[in-house]
Amino acid sequence: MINKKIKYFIITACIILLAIIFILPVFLTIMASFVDEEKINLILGSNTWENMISPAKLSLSSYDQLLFDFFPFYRLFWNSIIYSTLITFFALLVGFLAGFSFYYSKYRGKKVIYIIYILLMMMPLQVTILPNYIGLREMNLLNTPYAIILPLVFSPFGVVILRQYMSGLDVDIIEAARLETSSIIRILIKVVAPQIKVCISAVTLFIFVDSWSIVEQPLLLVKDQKLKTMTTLFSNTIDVGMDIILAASVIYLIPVLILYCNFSQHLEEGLALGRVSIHD
Amino acid sequence: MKKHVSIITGLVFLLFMLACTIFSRTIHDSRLVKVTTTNVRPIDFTISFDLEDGTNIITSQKKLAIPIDIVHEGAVYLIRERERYNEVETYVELVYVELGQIEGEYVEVKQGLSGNDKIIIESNGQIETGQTVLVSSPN
Repeated sequence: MINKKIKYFIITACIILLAIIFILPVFLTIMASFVDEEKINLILGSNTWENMISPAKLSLSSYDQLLFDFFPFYRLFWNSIIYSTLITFFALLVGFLAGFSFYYSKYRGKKVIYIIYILLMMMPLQVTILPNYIGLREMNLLNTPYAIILPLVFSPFGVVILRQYMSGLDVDIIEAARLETSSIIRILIKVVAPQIKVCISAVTLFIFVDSWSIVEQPLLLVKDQKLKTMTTLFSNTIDVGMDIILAASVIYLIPVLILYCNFSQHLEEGLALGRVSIHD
Repeated sequence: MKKHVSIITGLVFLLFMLACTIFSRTIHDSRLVKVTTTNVRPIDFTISFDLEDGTNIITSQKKLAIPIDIVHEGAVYLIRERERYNEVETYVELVYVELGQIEGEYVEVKQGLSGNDKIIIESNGQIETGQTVLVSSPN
């Protein structure tokens, strides 16, 4: 009994320590964004603990400068919002339809194509970025918003995850629905989608977070500054002050946090269902 | 309830960012000191000189001149342009000038300014070198 309690205590302590390690950079970023520029420069230029831990006056000067002085920020912010929203919506649509096709339809080569999808999903970005670049160049889509949107819309991630989740569905329900109506779209909307709502929520969150944090695609596929995203701002510490970058980082976190709060319940349900199926 | 709160928070955040996008430049400009400028222009200065035989010749010559009342301790404030965050903005620079002949309200500028320079003749606040300003009525 005591061993169990000690074990539980140690595991909890380790988890709390890990959580602190993960949350600490975010916490420090948020705190540093409310400190004036003088203190930030003092911390960055200093190699003594005294300067770092000495109390600093809280101020909104970083946000003031970001929102009312650094106008390129708005273009970058809205580009990120528009790209992420479009990518999430269309990737979900493509993933849902393609996933259902892999699950329900019968045609030659289905398994081969699905295995290719899985292999593509496992390939890192560094492998796929060059073929993407060449393909977009041939289609004259480089330096356009489509260069960022299209490769991510047709990403295999959503397809594979949704298809895997659909494999747990009962085919008889779909067959029964086919007796009622011949419209596949209706079956998808009325029968399939409500049953995989949890998975759709999780995939929405993952795709949004993934598209919100893209860095390589805006840097490599687009040259025009007006088409770039917020993530390109964070690498530019020479032209832009640290105070602006810190304030922009906090604003960068907000949409993801809001979306997570929206879908967290479904995410927890999905994880719980996964836990149940593992132990069955 | 939690979902409604997060949706409302998201909408409020987007509306706030939209409002900032629309009004940020207006707010930024309202904080800047507004200045009125004029070009350094050549005006006619009366020149008088005596010939060897004692004849006094009065003629005029065009010279670069500025209003005398904007000169403070031998210096004037100019408007310059610089690129900042991929945008052009105007800022103030203090320049020392060598002055010459006075003609009415104007004084000759011997050195320190060129014909393309724009000098500040009026401002609605304190200005100093390097400060970003808004040119309200350029001449």
